[in-house]
Amino acid sequence: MSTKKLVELAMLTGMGIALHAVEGQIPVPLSLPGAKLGLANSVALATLREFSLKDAITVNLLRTILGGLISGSFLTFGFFLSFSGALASTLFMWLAMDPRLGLSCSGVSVVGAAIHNLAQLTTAMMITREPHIFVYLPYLLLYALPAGLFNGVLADKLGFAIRSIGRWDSNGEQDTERSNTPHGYLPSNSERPRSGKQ
Amino acid sequence: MWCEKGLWLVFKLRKGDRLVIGLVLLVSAFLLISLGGRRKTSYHGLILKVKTADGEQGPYYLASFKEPTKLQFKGPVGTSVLEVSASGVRMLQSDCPDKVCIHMGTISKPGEMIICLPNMVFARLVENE
Repeated sequence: MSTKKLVELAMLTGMGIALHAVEGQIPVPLSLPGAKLGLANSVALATLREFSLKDAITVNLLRTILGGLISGSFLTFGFFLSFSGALASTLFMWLAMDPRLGLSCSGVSVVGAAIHNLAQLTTAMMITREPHIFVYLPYLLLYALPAGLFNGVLADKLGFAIRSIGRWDSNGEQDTERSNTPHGYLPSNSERPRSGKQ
Repeated sequence: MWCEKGLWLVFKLRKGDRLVIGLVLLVSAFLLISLGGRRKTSYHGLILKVKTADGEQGPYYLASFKEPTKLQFKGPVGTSVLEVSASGVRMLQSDCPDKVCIHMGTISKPGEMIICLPNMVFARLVENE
């Protein structure tokens, strides 16, 4: 792993922690347990898109562990919820990136948001042994839809930002460690050309 | 720069995206119909069942609460206070950070729940059989 990639992944991890912390301060106008914008999910998607599954899982799990240590919720109930959600959503977003499915960034993000909710509710049910909390699943899914679409666009923009770092390289060499997602490149939602390089 | 057009949220949806959105809407609509069930007030009175980190509490018969009573439940974060009256149950105060449980308001029909995830308090109304 090159130093550059290490720094970029570290930056993404820090971004995820900061977004997660900021998001916790935004009150949700719904009385729905676990309804969140999921801004950190867009960081996971951008990592998945610009790097690989392994890197995305590393960034996302480091994000939950470090975030848990900072906020003091490490190894508590809330930590397990966000840990399982982050792991499952990253895996399923990777699966949804298959070009045969014909999804764009936002579509993959919606899949990630929905799976995040499903995984969290399943974990909550396993810990509390209270199956009735699944009553909230349809409401959470309906909330995941706009949140997922928004995060997809955000991840798209974040990808532009990450790729534009490469253009400031002093040597200007092609970065071989980037964009090696096994399924090929995920199409953007915006009208801008997908490559930042000229 | 990558943001020369501004952070304008233009986006186009592809065919697969529409499918995913449709699927999510379909699943949530199906779950809403199948899980929602009937929500009528019962004739035989209501029972409040509370599940906390320590296990099951109650049952509390709502009809037996002539005046609003405060019930305290201990959880991993702190104390949650439920106010129980003959007409319904609401979360009066809780030590959790997000206060979602307080914003849930009063529940008064069978099947309705008040959940405090951080403090692991699950209050549920069931029909008296």
